[in-house]
Amino acid sequence: MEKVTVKIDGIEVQVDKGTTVLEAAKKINKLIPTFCYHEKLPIFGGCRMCLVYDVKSKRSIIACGSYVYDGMEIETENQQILNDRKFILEMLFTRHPLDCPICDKAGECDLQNWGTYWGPQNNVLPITPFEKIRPEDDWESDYLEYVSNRCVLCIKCVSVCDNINQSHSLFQLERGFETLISPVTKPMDSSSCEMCGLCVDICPVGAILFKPFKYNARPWLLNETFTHCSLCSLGCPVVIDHDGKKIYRIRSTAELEICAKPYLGYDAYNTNRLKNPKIQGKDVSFDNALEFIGQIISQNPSKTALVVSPYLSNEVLEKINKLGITTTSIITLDLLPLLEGFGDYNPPDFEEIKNAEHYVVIGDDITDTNPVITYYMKKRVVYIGEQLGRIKKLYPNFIQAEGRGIIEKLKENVEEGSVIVYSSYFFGEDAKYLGEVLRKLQEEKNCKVVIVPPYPNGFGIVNNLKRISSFVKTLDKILSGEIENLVMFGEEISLFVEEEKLKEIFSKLKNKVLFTPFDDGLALVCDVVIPLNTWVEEDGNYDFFTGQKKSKTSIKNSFKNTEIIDKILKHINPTSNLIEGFESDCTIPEWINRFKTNIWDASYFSLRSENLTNWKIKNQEVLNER
Amino acid sequence: MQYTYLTEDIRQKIDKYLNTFPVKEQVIIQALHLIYSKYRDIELPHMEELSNYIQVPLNQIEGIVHFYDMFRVKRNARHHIRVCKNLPCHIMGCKKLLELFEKLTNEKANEESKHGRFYIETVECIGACSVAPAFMIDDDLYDGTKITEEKLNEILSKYT
Ligand code: SF4
Ligand code: SF4
Ligand code: SF4
Ligand code: FES
Ligand code: FES
Repeated sequence: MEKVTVKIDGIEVQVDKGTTVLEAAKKINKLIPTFCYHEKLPIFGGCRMCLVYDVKSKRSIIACGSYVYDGMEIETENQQILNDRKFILEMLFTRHPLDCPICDKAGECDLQNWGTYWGPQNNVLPITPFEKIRPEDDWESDYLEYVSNRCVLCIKCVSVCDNINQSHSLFQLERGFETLISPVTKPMDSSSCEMCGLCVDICPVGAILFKPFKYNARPWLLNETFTHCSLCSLGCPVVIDHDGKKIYRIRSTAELEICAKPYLGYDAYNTNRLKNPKIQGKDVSFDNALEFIGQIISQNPSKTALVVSPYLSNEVLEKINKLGITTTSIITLDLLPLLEGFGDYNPPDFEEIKNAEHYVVIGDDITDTNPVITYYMKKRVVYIGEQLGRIKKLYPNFIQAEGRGIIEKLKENVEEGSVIVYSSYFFGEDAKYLGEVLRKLQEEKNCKVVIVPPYPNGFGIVNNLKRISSFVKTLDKILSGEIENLVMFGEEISLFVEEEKLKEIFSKLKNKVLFTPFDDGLALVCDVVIPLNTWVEEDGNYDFFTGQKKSKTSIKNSFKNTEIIDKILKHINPTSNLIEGFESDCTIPEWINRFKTNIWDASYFSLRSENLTNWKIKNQEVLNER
Repeated sequence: MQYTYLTEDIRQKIDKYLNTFPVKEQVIIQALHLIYSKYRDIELPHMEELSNYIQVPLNQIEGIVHFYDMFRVKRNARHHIRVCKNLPCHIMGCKKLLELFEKLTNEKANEESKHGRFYIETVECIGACSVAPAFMIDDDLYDGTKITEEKLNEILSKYT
């Protein structure tokens, strides 16, 4: 890459040719105010906030949209620039209500910040928050709200929706001074909008608000925890804003990677949490409960089985492994046979996937299962599946197929070097067959195979457990009386087993032990229930598709999942004579419910989110209509 | 998809444009003209059909419709009066003309039509500054230089 040397405020910096002045300035930590710029969006150059002075051409230029040339000299804070900045802010102020005291964005607002540093410090043509100078545009949404008077017309919201989320859900109503931002159809909750919240996060002012957050907290009074979303196998970087007790919102980082599952679904972590262990519905101490479980296990280790959840962290799984009892998980139904068919799977580099030219998506719609991966799919897309849902936003070439037909169509439509994206759909034998086909395509056609399960730590189970028994066989053993005690982590069992069957299974069990974050659902029918931390409450590593990443503690509980298992370990004598190895399910009986992930119904977490449930009711028709 | 508004003839013309222009976004405005001259209003279902037909996101089409004064989304009127408000027309008295229109039609400019006959709108330059204050009714351009109440009444009576 050709290098050029530029001087910014007297400091020389060497950058690649084709770098913008703004990016060059960032390298030497020069702060240049911006409104319409974002590193992940195309350059718009509409707000003029980023003006800097080009000494050689003797004029002000926009830093975000001007490219450096060799020998360029830039001044970012000379008198002329200070005047320019002041003037631009002054113009914005003449039409802005300056209602920071009642604005949610206050404290994290660019207009407020730049105004404080460089603004005129007084309002030339004051309009009060009560005088509407611009018409309102009611988005008719329970989640997003537009406050027209505060909008500085940077158009980043439209751009982020077009270029990142790609659902194209916003547009500019009217033009020039009168521009309003409006959802493409109303009510917004039943539009193509995916409720990723990126438009809210990216708005430099308080013009787009997240209603559930509105008037609830001041951002500077909240703690922010940078973490990774553990709601699917992508592990997107997100920020949790909380006060140590309650989550107020989950938002995106500058990477702009987030979807509705955390954005709307954060409320699930605040409601109906299990605080204390219970035996037969009565509160007991942790020690008593764990001793009791220890007894159950050590009295009859061979008659006890464990179901682990792919929402557990590696640390927890590793400890569970030490318990030395029959362990199973729903991944033996789908992920395990797939990996078995594939043989030794190593996820390709995510960067390569982002830059691919041709994608073939198969099975369930990945806009439902792993929404963020679609943000990167900007080239040709083929979708082979049962019906064209949300993924239609990518204008894919849609090939309708069912069951193994999908795999046959895949073979026909794949090209040299295609990226094949698969999340879920196939079970048992079919999944195994898909694995074999994918392997072949990787070897013969140089395809990149992306396996992104709808749950976060399926790979973690495979990597951390030494023994995984078949899910179906384990349950069969309960029915035949061979297994009497079942220890469950999470509630997957109730999603993947039909209700009547589950009742039958439960009726055969002597002891039903459940580790769960919630004080409802399965907790109501189990004999022993123990609270469980989620990714929000306990540090943990997860083997995401994008590599091992850590989710960090936001809300601290008095207990830790890992310590709980340690305590159980103390009460038992792990003498495992079980054979190591994985046993996947090839034949899937009728009573297995082929749980289909939706953007609203992805896990036992999202099923508990009021926000997601309410949105689902309003949004469901969209998929069928448009 | 079944097309209700994008009739066979419109689709044929759109196909022709699709073949002529290298980028399909270039077809949007042409297609909107076709829709507009047939229906005199551009409504959401029209745009949805167009979006589906040429496979361009709906928000781009809506953005274009709202950007240009020449395309209007539904205003519930059979006829569309456009009065230019830019400098030359302003100097030549478009304000008076507008008042006259409001009086004769009993409608308010830029507000949804009450009676369903006329919708009056103030627009940017329509390229007829020589006959300022210029105005259009539907597709007909009029010379506003010597307009009187009587003349205007006569013109309006042609649009029922
Ligand atoms: S929430 Fe996401 S999908 Fe919806 S309008 Fe905003 S950016 Fe677009
Ligand atoms: S709503 Fe916010 S992001 Fe969108 S144009 Fe206005 S200021 Fe910019
Ligand atoms: S795509 Fe997956 S990891 Fe990323 S924000 Fe959505 S649920 Fe979380
Ligand atoms: S940030 Fe450069 S013009 Fe808006
Ligand atoms: S200014 Fe009115 S027609 Fe040009």
